[in-house]
Amino acid sequence: MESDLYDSYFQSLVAGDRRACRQIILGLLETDIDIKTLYLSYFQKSLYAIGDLWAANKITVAVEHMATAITESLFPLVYPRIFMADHCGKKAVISCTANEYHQIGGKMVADVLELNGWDTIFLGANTPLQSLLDFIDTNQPDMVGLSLSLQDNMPNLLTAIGKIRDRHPELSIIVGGQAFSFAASEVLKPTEHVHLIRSFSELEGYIQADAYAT
Amino acid sequence: MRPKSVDNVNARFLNDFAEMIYLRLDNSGRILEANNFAKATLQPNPVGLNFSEIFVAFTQTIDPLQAAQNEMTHVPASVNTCADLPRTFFFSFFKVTEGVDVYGEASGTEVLTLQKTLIETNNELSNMTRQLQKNNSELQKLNDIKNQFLGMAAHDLRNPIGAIIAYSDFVMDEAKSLTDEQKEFLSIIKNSSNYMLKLLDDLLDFSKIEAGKLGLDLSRCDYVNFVKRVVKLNSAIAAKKHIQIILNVHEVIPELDFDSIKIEQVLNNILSNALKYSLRNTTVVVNMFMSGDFVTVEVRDQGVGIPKDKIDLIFQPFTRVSKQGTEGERSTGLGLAIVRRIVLGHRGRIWVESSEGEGSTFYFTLPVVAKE
Repeated sequence: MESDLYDSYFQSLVAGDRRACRQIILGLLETDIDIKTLYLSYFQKSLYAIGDLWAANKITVAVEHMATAITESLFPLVYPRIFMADHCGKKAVISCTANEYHQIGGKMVADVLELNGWDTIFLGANTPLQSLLDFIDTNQPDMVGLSLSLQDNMPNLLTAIGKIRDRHPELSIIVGGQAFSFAASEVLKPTEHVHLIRSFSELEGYIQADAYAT
Repeated sequence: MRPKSVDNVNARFLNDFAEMIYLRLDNSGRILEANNFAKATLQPNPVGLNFSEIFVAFTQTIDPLQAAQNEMTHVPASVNTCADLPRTFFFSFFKVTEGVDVYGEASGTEVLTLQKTLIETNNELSNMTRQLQKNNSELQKLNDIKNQFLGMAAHDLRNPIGAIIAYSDFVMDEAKSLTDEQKEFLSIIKNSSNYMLKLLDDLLDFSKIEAGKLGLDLSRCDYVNFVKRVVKLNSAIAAKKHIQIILNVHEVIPELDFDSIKIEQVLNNILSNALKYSLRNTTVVVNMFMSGDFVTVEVRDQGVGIPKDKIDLIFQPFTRVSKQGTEGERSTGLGLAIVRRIVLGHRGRIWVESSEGEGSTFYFTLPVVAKE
């Protein structure tokens, strides 16, 4: 049963049993599970649930960090399938803003882009704005993705968007992350060519739109 | 705040579970007791040491008795820990009847900083792993393309080369009407074409193996008779250079499961190399013997040998130690790379010992019990 398997995965994650989590994910990969399903139904679902437990003061922040670290350690199991897709010639830079330490969402977005043939560079958590800007200048991507988990970091995100836009007026920017579960998309209104992405299907719809046809 | 009485439940908690250092000192500063946390954290075990000995670069003089009398609390100091890293604790001193009780609380800021550093390091490692894996996949794709190209090129070139060889033979059959110079030219065309064919066959083999298509067809054979037959075939070639091949079978060798076509390719390659790089009037010795659960075939020549700095390279593709044999024989530079993969495919081993100017000895093993 799929739900039993998820429950088993979740219990192992909370208990810090990395080996059990690894075995479950390896088993799922052997059944040829769709990568996006794996990301959404296991990685995202479990981490959101752990976030809720932490918010309800039922687990400590240490358990949350441990669960995140275990999840991070499971990504390499998926990579052989992620990186074998043929490239479509498009390049994206995916990053978290300064002070944003939750990077798993951004990493999943980068991986889904890879599955769609994009060449992605994932800069990870807490990327200083200047480094991000320099990196964009050097690598000239077709798209930049910024991930935001904590609403407190919204000003950093808006600053980053503004600075990127100053240098690259036409560059497409996508944003997403848990911060937008609570924030109205109005916060992005003053910005141009910025697209809020709420799901993998939205992401795939966006990159497959005419603007990105190869 | 210091617990008023350290007994019963409190004492057990303090000793067994509390994540803080607790030390009982005598009035001279000698450590009489330490709780589990202190024993697990401090290096070395603090019991029996003087209080001043547990600190890193102890510059601040703290007399614990005096500190207790002055009711000093939250004095920061770094101690030696089992992790070989100094760690800061905030020490408080309390006078008790038997001496002094010392409590050390971990620095909250330090813990948070370490935690943050750990998360950052983990993230960085994870991202580097991703990039490495991505680069690795790119290299794998390029390698696949290279092998595909090699396979296609070799396959497509094989037919025209075959035609050149066949038509050279037809013309050679008309040798009566040819001048000596024309015969020599035809001979060069044929030899070069044969070399090209061998090179293409090796390229095809190599690209198939690289693409994971080694495809072994294992069947049970009398290994000794098999080796005898291959040695006999090579003896005819050896005779042209007046080289003698001697086969010694040192013990009873069981029948083995192996791919006879592929292993013949292995033995032919090793023997032809031995002949190629040997001088006239020398001997090549082939020994067969058991090595535990494996049968070893040893091919020892008295040839030119392999320079020390090249030994590690000879099983790599396109790395020939010498371009030509002692009498101008040519090689493709792929033979030993193919041979190695065939032997590994049988779960055997292959290696070489050599001394420049004295000769080389190649060994390869096959398991008595083959595993799919």
